[in-house]
Amino acid sequence: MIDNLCDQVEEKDLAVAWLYCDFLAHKEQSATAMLGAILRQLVSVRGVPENIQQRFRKRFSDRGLRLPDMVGMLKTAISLLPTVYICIDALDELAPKSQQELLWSLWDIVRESPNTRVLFTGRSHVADEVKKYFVEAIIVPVSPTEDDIRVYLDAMLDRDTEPDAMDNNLRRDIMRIIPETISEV
Amino acid sequence: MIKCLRNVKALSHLRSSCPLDLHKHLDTTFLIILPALVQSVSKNMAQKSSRNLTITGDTGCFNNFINTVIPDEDNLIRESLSSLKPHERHQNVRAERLDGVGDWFLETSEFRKWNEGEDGSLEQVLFCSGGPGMGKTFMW
Repeated sequence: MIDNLCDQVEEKDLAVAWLYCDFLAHKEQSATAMLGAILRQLVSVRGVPENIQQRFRKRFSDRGLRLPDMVGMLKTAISLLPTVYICIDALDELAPKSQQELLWSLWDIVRESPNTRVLFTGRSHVADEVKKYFVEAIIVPVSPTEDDIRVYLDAMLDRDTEPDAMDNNLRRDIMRIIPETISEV
Repeated sequence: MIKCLRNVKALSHLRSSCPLDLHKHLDTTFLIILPALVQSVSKNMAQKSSRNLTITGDTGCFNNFINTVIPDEDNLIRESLSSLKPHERHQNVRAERLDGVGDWFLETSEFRKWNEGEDGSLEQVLFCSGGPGMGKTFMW
């Protein structure tokens, strides 16, 4: 999906930024660091706009960047771009505080920047959190199709480290039964 | 700090266009002041600088050294914005992803509306919900 969006960049004049949340990186993944990573991606292609440079010089030398600085700089960066896509994977893996701060900040940004689109993935229980901030958010249930599972199984069987344990019949049974069973779940 | 880096860059430029004897003098100055300057930028860069200095020991390399170790202001700002590296993680996800898996998602009406909708449309925010191991990251 990210690559698909990136492929549209030249044709449609848009900017794409993304983040992966990780249970194991709670400490590093503060809302400020995450928004900073989004901003960094957005200013990477066309350079850092002058007003962001000024704000950065002032704030960074004073006391380091804080969440409101980052939100302000992001709003400025987005206002200078056409359509901006922000994709955030595994929202449920963020620490609760970072998750709330990130959602609040994005709400603030989206409200002022109609050219922004945000896509989250996450376990279903965070959908309620997203809905709190984005009442109009569209929720899409995602599960692999039978074809997805077949492609995946094929790849896993090809990479099997003990190919001698496999024969054509067993492979055929695996390829038939597992996709059917999983899609019934 | 940024002003300081600019001065270093200006000195670097001067060094390449100055007479030979001054050139040597500046090289020596660089040897003395550079690690300190770089250290003031960040620990990470300071490590790089001492490594480079030890390995090269060659003052003639300083122009390249300045350009690679001390970034221009844009680079400095970008690097200071966040320590997170989502591009690295994305390369790993791409390496694991299998062609065709999850492509159906790009054809769903929800994704298309989100992707193609007008600015300020109701479909500004999309949440893809699924249990563990349901292939959410594979869609990326």
